[in-house]
Amino acid sequence: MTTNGAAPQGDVYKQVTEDVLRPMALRGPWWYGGLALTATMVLIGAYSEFLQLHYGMGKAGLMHPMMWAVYITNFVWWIGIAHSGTLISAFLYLFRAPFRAAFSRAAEAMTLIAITTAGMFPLIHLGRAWRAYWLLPYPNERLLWVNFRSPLVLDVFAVTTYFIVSTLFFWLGLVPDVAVVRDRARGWARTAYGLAAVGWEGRDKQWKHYLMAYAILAGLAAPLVVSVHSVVSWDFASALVPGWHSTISAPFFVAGAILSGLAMVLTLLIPMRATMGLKQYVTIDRMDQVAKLTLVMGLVVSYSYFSEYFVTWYSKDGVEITNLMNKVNGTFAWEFWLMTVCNCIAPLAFFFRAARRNIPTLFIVSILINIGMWMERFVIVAGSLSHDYVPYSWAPSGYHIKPVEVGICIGSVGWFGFLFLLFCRFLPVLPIAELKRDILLEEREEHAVEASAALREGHAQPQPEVG
Amino acid sequence: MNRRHFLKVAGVSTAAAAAQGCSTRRGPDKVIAYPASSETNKPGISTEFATVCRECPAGCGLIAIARDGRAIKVDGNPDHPINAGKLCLRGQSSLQGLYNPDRLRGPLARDEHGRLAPISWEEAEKRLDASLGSLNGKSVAWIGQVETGAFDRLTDAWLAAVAPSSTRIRYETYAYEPLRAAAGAMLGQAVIPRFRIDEARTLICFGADFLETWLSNVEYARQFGEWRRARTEGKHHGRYVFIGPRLSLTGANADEWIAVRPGAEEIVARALSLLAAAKGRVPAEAASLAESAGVPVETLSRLAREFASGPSLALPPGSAQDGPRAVAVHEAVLRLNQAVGNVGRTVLVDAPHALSTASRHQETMSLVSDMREGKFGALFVHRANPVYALPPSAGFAEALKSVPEVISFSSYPDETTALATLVLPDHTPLESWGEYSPRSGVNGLMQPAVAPVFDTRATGDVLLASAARAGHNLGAAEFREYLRKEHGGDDAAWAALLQLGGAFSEPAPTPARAAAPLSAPSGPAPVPVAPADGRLVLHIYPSLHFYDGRTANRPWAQEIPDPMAKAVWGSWAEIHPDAAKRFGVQDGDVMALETAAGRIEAPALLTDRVVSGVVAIQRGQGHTNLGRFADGIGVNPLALLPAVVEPASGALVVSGGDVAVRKLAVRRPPVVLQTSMKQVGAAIARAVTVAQLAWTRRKGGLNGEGGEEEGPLRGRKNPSLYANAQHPKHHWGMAIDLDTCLGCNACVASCYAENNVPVVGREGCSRGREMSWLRIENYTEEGASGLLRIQAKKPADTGPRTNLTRFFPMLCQQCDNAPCEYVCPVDATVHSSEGLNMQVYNRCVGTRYCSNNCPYKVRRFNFFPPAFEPPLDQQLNPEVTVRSKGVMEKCTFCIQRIEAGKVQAKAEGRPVRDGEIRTACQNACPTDAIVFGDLKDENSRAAQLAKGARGYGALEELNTLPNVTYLARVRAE
Repeated sequence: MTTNGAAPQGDVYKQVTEDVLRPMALRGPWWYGGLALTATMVLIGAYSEFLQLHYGMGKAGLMHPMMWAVYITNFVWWIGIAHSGTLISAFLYLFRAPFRAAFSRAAEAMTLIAITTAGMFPLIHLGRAWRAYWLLPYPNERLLWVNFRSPLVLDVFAVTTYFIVSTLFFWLGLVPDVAVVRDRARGWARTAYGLAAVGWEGRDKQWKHYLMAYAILAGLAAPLVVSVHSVVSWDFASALVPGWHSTISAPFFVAGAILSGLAMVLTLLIPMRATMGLKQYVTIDRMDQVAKLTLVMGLVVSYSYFSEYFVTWYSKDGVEITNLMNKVNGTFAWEFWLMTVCNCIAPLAFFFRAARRNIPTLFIVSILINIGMWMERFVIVAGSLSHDYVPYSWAPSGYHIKPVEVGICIGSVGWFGFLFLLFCRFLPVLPIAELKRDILLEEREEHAVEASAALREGHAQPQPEVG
Repeated sequence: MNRRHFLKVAGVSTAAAAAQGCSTRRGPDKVIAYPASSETNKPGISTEFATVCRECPAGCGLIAIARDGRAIKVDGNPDHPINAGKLCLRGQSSLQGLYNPDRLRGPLARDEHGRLAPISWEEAEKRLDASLGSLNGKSVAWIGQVETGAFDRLTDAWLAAVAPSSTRIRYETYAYEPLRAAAGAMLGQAVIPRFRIDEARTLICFGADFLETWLSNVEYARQFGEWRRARTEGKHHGRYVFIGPRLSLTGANADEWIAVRPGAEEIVARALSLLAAAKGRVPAEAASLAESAGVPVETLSRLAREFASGPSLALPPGSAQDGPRAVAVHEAVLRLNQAVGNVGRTVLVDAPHALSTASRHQETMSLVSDMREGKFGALFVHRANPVYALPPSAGFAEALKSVPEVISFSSYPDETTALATLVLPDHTPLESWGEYSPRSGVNGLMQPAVAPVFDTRATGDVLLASAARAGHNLGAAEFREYLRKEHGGDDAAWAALLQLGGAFSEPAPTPARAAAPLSAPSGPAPVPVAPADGRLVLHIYPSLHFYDGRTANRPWAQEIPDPMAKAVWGSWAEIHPDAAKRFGVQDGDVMALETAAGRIEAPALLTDRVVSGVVAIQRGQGHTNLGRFADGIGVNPLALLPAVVEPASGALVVSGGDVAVRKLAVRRPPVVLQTSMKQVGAAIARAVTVAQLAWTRRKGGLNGEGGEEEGPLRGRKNPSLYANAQHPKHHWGMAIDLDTCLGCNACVASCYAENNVPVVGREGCSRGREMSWLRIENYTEEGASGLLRIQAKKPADTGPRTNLTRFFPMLCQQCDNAPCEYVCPVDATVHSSEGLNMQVYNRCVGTRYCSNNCPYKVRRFNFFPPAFEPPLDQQLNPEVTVRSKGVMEKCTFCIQRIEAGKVQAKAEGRPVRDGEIRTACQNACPTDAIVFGDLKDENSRAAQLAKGARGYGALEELNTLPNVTYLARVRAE
């Protein structure tokens, strides 16, 4: 937001606080309705999971040879979505990208919620989910240990680390804002927000330490953007399944994750800015900038697809080639082509300025990319497995998804939505302190411009620094 | 007693206590008093009982392994001359006959509502006496399977004692009447001869499915294995040529398939006889015969030359080809044998098969008409199911209504028993005393391996008791005693006889007959059957898994895929793609087949393994009253057969009739477990020609282009950060000879039995969830059109073609660099120091990553809790864990047998001997294609075989270092 010349300085800052905190009080029928809807979805998912636990994994459409399908696809998809949070928070912070503040809080919340959603899927997909704790290396009397060569164990560590760092990052960013909320709250809410604000008073010393800590944490979190999805990609790359066993997997997966994360940010922010009166903060310029980034990542992903197919062709490896052809022109054809259209063609719309600045277009393309990225993971996971070395065991047809899987997918979306709705009403959805700082920096810049002009003209003294 | 000894004793007694505590299985059986262990029942220790397999008339010797009062496994009896320790799928499934959940649990009789209701044995005996007492001078009929020895004589004696007059039918579905009639005409004895495949070089089979059901399939499979092995070792250069309208499993093992239309077998046989007698010349008649059969005369001339050049054998057509000229075809084939002097060498009449005594179809039919005329006061049915096994047009079921008392001794609720008025269930063979002699010189003795599972009674006992009540003394009070008396001798001799499994002697050699001058064939040569427009010629073939349908209610027989179609749980109609095009039929479309006699519906399975004028359907499915696993599954093609008999022998005509074919607007594809029969990319099942083999032998291995290392460790360089697998004591491995693998599924059934592999049913199979640890893949060689589910451009119809089928037993390869192991997050699959890839069921959390990463796709996941419907659960092997839902399982080379062997060796203070430990699959294999052993021991058979020039590892280019070595199939050029 640019300073409103008519309003006094202090009012601008107050206005930011008011604007950002206003939605927290808006708990109308729509919000409760949304909560009820998402809670119902969660219950559907829970019932499906109960059926699966009770009767066995056979309730899902899994079969030989497609032993992984929807659940692992969901896992990778949600982890991918979880990417943009750290990307926007950490990378953009370190690069001092100007449009960060408009997105960072929502993106971080999305990250956190997406990780909790993703984290459920490795457990849901286990044949014996009640033994999931065996995946953790804990000391026990039987001296049983986990297998550190297994990418799944690496996954446990990568995802846990990412979750912890993202939580810290989210919380640390929230501290000054939560303090504001605390100051306005009463009763138990004041206590709760007070705990979260850990005694923040906005003193200079606190700010100094805070900014230092935030920068360090950003520096620590940035590599995780690359590492988490690289590790997830090793679930596939280190196996010898054709279509999985590929050294390009890590960068390819990271690029895909960023693309899907950006798309999800658009998907969430477009309704948020419309319904919460945040249009003056999440401006169309900011959307344009995210769309440009989405376009770049779409091109990177398309290039990754191309290079993978090229290498497959170039290898002359019959197994790899038949595996790919089964996706292009076989039992996974419609999934494959849906993926291609959504991920490679749809983002090309963002070459046009008009598309980047048109909210419906942005929304539709973001949804298409979300679908396309799910399909990509599905084609990689189930499609590759369906057609490997032994012709006897090829899957005779595509994957037949079963009701429990649909139920669990619905449940996961509901879970994500439920938590996000809570976030929208219980925490400031934009970083107040950061928005104010941006205003300050802009002002300072204006002052500097004015001052230098005055200096050049030689009839003004340099202004003292604004603290 | 020192401390160590004390601990040992304590350990043993705790283990024993634990074993008792573990035994949670409940059944109707008595609790065994452990302190009172007998010679045949030591707690926790298996006892082997020698007996005879009565699943078909082949009469193989069985070893039934019983433990704690339950039969857990059957193997072949190594001392039995018929099967020499091997056993087919049907024999393996006898366990599921014993513990079949649909077995009759006690006697039944019609109640006032006309339903079969349970009664007590006292009541049942009264009913039996009453029905015998109210005959009013009417005759009694007995229809039972072919029996020999004590039970055979007892039946006759009992019938003579209790009935004023009687008719006895020795009913066999496959009675080989045309063969018997032809042998009578050509060899002077109307019996079923013995054939010696292993003595022959050139082998021509006119369709007999001698590896499946024909006469004595295990015996002939063994001989055929010998024949192939001898050829691979360079002892002969014979070829095996299969002639017929459909490539059966037996045909798929041939070097060449001469596809002919139904009925052309006789023409080919005649042409071959002429050509063989002409010694190189091509008589004009032979040329015209060849033309009419659609086979190039050059092919036949070359074949005749080979056939005449040395010991050879021509096998007759099989039961599927019993057409309107069946006797003439058999005569033509025997004449061909005679022409080159095979009679007395490879065709022997010295020891006729017991099936030679089977009643003829005409006798059965006159029984039916007598029944209809009300001549019988009672009909007894014993181990026969004529209502199902005869075509409905024979009218057996209707005729039964005219018999006031139908008394069935069946152990199962089959279609005939469903129409009985009184059911006195017999024990199954594994609970019975008895004997069976499939041919003279071989008399197998049967003894019970377990106490009766249900309230059944041996029919022998029932007959003896009934005679005693009627005041006749037949010589014994119980059948066991009767049998014992028949054999005489002292107790020690009797015990020795039982231990051996019977009395065996080879028949005295008979002099070979000189090549007879070619006798003139009777009548003019036939013309091959060509179907009219809109019709196809029906070809109903016997089933490897179900024989005539009797084993259809056994889950293993249904769930293990058919060896050729690889389909499970159902029926299908095989048609040639050309014919399919004519009828607009696609794979999986349901076709209606109709004749004047009846109509059936079956899904089409497109294959070029039949000639284009034929529709082939397997016999044995479509039961209405055999039990939960068989009823409503598939169709019974016999419904299409009119009551037509072959004029010369009176045998039922099964083949050659035509059916109207119509496509229905329904699709119901059969559940086919093998997705592609073509190998793409990696050649998994490899083959070499004889010439290549010689070259490879010089070069030292299939892969080694002069590689220095040979054998199982050939070329094993494993560039890895991790230490290579070390095998300090043993290195278990397997050599599987694809050359002698016949694809007969015996190993698969044995594996199911040994390892408690659950059955998932049609629904599970259709969703790719079959649990089999070992499967036989059926591939066609590169370059050939795919043989099943094909889009071949223009598959040939009739004429000679190189048979390119390869069978490939796929099981866990126990890779030394196993892809499954490193991906498991919880170390639930780990490598043993003996080279085994072990699966720790109770550590498995079910990520299924190992299955994804297994290139062989041999790991099986428990999608649901395994189902073993009681009392099928009594068959479970206590040495093997029953896996719960959510865990992965797979082959571990029968680790329980390995451990038992090691313990045995240690107890005897000696190293493990080669060949002492045998896996379940190895034990069953009729041709010894599977050899298990210690690769660490250079001289073990497995190591020696693996070193051979034909050895290669499946997908070894993936650096998995498999411990299974395959020996490439050898192909005659």
